[in-house]
Amino acid sequence: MAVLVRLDEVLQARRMTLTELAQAVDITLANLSILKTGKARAIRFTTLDAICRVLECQPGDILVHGPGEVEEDED
Amino acid sequence: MGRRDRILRFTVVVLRVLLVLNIAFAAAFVIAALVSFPLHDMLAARIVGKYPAVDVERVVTGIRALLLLGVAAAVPAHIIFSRLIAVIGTVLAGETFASPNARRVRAIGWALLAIQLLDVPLLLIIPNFAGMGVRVDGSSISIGGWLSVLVAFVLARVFAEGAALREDLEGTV
Repeated sequence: MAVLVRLDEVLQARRMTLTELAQAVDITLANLSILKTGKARAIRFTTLDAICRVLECQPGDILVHGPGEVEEDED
Repeated sequence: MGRRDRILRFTVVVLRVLLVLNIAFAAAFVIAALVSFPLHDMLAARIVGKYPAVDVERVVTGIRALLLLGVAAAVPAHIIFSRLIAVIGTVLAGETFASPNARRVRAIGWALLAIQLLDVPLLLIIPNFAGMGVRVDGSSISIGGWLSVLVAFVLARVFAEGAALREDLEGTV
């Protein structure tokens, strides 16, 4: 995937754990783990808004576009 | 929902029975076709006894061909019954748009097409029974059958789209 999730780095900079973030944004830890490990296929604006609000950052701090191929789905 | 589930469960039972009957009949047809060789004379005598004017050899060949056609038809029938049971199983489990369902429905489409195409050898076999009151009246060619083939392929596409949407939804955080 060409879009990389840098949630780990931002969390480290804020000295926050994923569990704490999950509690603060009211999103399940499982879903946040999916996001953190880059396995998510989409992110809701509400999720992004909640994360940015808690971490006091911009969406661009969490999501970056890097080299790499976009996975094509097979029917 | 409970009532719908009951209908689905009942359908699964019916399909399982059909699945077993289909295999049993296919086996019976194979046995009958094989037995028709050693019992050829007896079979021929009975046919002549009932229809003295017919060409016995053609009729016996026709009977064997029909039996083999029945065996051939059992293959797509098995695919239809087994795949439909699997699809209903996913519906009962709340996984209607599980990705294998598109493949299953497509397989059903191909099986329905195969059954429609079996009309061709059937039309070739029927003249063997000339003089026995068996006639081709066009009733074996069904528009509904051909339509069901198209419907199955369209539904397979719908299931594929549904599975893709579901995967997207599951991967959305």
